[in-house]
Amino acid sequence: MIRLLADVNIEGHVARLLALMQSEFWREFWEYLDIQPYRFPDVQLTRDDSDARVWQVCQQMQLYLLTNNRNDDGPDSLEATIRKHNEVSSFPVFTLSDADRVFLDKDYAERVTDSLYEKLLRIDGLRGTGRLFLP
Amino acid sequence: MENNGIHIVDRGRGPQLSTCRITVQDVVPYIQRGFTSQQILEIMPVLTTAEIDAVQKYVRENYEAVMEQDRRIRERNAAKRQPPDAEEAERKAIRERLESARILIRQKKQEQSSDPASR
Repeated sequence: MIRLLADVNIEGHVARLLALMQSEFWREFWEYLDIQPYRFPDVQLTRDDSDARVWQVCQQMQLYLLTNNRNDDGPDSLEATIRKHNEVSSFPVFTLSDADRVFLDKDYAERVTDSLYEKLLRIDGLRGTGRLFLP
Repeated sequence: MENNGIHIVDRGRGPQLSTCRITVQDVVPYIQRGFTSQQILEIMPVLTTAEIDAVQKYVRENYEAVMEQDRRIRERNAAKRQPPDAEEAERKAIRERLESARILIRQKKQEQSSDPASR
């Protein structure tokens, strides 16, 4: 089973990607990987939790976080948290490089879906890699 | 900065809402494109109208600094991207790997359905 957690700043983006991922074309991948989408309330996270707390919950509950990359890299940032706590077995974080394009460019959304599925198929080998950038 | 009791604060991730982990820069691309509050709410349903108002007010009052930060973010993200030709070649390679995986998934599914022990 693969648990995907949508960060609150890209909930709408992830909803759109999940719809693509469950389309007829991708249905057998979705079922094979047994993907389970989660939102913050599902895992006792609140919408004002820090990056550090979000990352820790992801590790404890074996969740792959989907987020964007438009924040500063301050001491409590996701980037700093990963640098400080990442281990060989840590669950990586999927980062959308250009999240707003998910809504504006269908071709881009499809590229993100391709890239996400390709990584999910070999996800065990990607543990400990920190951030995994999607297009 | 305060707006309806909602502040814009910096907790080390850049300016963000005091009430929510969403940052000003999370919302900026949609403000730049002229999205209405309702359209932003559809993209980030966790926000309230008052929070969007607070971000919009902050952007108006700090326009130059916010746009400079947006430019730096876009530059940083663009630097992680490959040139268009390499991107296209990688996309093609990914599609090929996915089609190979599709064949394997179908084979496994067929094996499972023909294996009496798995029923």
